[in-house]
This record gives sequence, C-alpha cells and structure tokens, in this order.
Amino acid sequence: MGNPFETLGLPARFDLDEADLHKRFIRLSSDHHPDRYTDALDQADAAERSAVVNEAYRALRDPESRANALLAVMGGPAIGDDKELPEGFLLEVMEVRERMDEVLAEGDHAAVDELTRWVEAERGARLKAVGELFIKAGGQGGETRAAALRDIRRELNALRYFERMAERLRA
Amino acid sequence: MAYSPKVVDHYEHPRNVGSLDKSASNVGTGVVGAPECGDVMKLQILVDEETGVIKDAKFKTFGCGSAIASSSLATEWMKGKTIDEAAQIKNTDIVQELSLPPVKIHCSVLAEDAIKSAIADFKKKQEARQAQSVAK
Repeated sequence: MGNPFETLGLPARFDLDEADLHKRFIRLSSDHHPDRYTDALDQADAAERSAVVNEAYRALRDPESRANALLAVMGGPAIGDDKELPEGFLLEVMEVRERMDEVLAEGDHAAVDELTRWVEAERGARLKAVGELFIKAGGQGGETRAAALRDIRRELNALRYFERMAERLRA
Repeated sequence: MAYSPKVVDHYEHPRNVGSLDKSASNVGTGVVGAPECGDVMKLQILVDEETGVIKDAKFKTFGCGSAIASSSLATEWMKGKTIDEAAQIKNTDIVQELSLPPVKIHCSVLAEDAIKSAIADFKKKQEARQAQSVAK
C-alpha cells in the first residue's frame, strides 16, 4: 500500500481531524467515480483510483490501523518485526480471556459490563500513549526518534490483544 | 477462505483442552502470543521426571480456528514423546498435517513457540530443583 495520508492529501499525523478525513474521502470518491467517465479505459483507471482512495480511507479511519500506517510512513518497526510485550502481559491476557469466557457463558451481565469498561479503558490508555509517542517521535531525530517508534510498536502490540477482547465482548 | 477438514475436526473437537497445575515441578507451561492477530495460546506438559516422557499435555487458545487446531494437534503429538523428541516438532509439520494456507502459517509458528516455551519452563524448573538438592 502507498502512503494513505498522501492519497487523501492529509498531513501524516496521528491526531487527524476525523470530520476532515471523511470530507476528503467523500470528495475524492466522487472525483474518481467510474460513472463520471464514458470511455472504458478511463473508467478502468477511475475504478483503480477509487480502490486506492477506499483503501487509504479504511487505513486511516480506525485509530489502530492509522497508527500502523503512520508508523510505516515514519519508518518504524512493522507488525511482527518487534514482538515485544510488557513482562507478564500474556499471562494476564490469558487470565482475562478465561474469565471473560466464564462470565459470558454464565450470562453475568454486571461482570461483562465491568470487563467491557476495563477493556475500553485499556484501549484508550494505549491509544493515548501512542498519540503522545508520535508527537515525541515527530520532533526528534536519531536515537530518541527510533526509541519512540519502537515504543509505539510495543503499545500497538499490546493494543491488538485489547482489540481482540473488545471483539469478543461485542460478539 | 475454507478450512481444511482436519482443521475443522480439531476446531470442533479440540483434544486436550484444559489446564495443569502450573506451580508443579513436573509441569512445564508456555504462554505465547501473536501480535499480528492478538491470539494467545497456553500449552502445558506433564512430564515423567525420571524418563522425560510427556505423560499429559493440555492447551487453551484464544484465537482463530487454525490457532486452536495447531495447538490441539501439538498436544496430541507431544503426548508419549520425550521432551527432546517433542522439541523436534516443527511448525512446517503442523502446516503440512493441517494443510494450513500461507496466511495461517503464523498459527503453526505460535504452536511451535508454545511447545518450546513449555519445554524450556519444565527444564528451568528441573535445573532449579537440582541446584537446590545439590545445595542441601
């Protein structure tokens, strides 16, 4: 995938104005809509551009994928390049997932609500940390920047597990 | 994407789901995760401390069908093997047995990591015990 920020004509930053993102998507989708063209070749080109715009919008709409896209643009480690997680994190995830299945099976709504709030708080905390780290990385070069990008990767590694928990609770 | 019949079989009838006492000296526990997808897998082995033979193996996986099938198969294969034999199980063996498509290869890698991590945990416990008995 190319640079989705460039595709949509937006600055490469994490804290995007989501209303502006949506507006640009709508405008570009309309500009490149194949129905605007009569020639078959022009239509095919437009369809290709539309697909690129759609993909860029999907990449930027969701904060997790936006962070991954920005990290790639900034030259940070990709998913799988750095699998580090905080010490003991996976054990905790395992325990929470076991408890989650229990309370879901029991239909214990109060416990499910409590877990949902906890997962949301954890997701929010990770995304907040990611936002702050992007600001830190943006103003720096060299080792400070590399360290911030690595820390973003690790926050995103942990975030994935909370996203999966949230999916499970929504299902 | 369609799952292979073997994956479906392990997914619908997972073997050896459960837990062993992780504080026992003859139990090795491995907990591993895949940040690409957020899957988490726990694999435990109960080992005969005299012979090194794996007498029981249990797993718990929160992940997709392929991750569950990979860990289920891993526990099946490990039972009755010595820890050294079990350490030879390769993710490619799992890929082949379950006919996993390329996008699901990381699930088999996760299972191999879990096997290695459970064996390493058991060995660490044994070494700690031996060090203790020497010190006595």
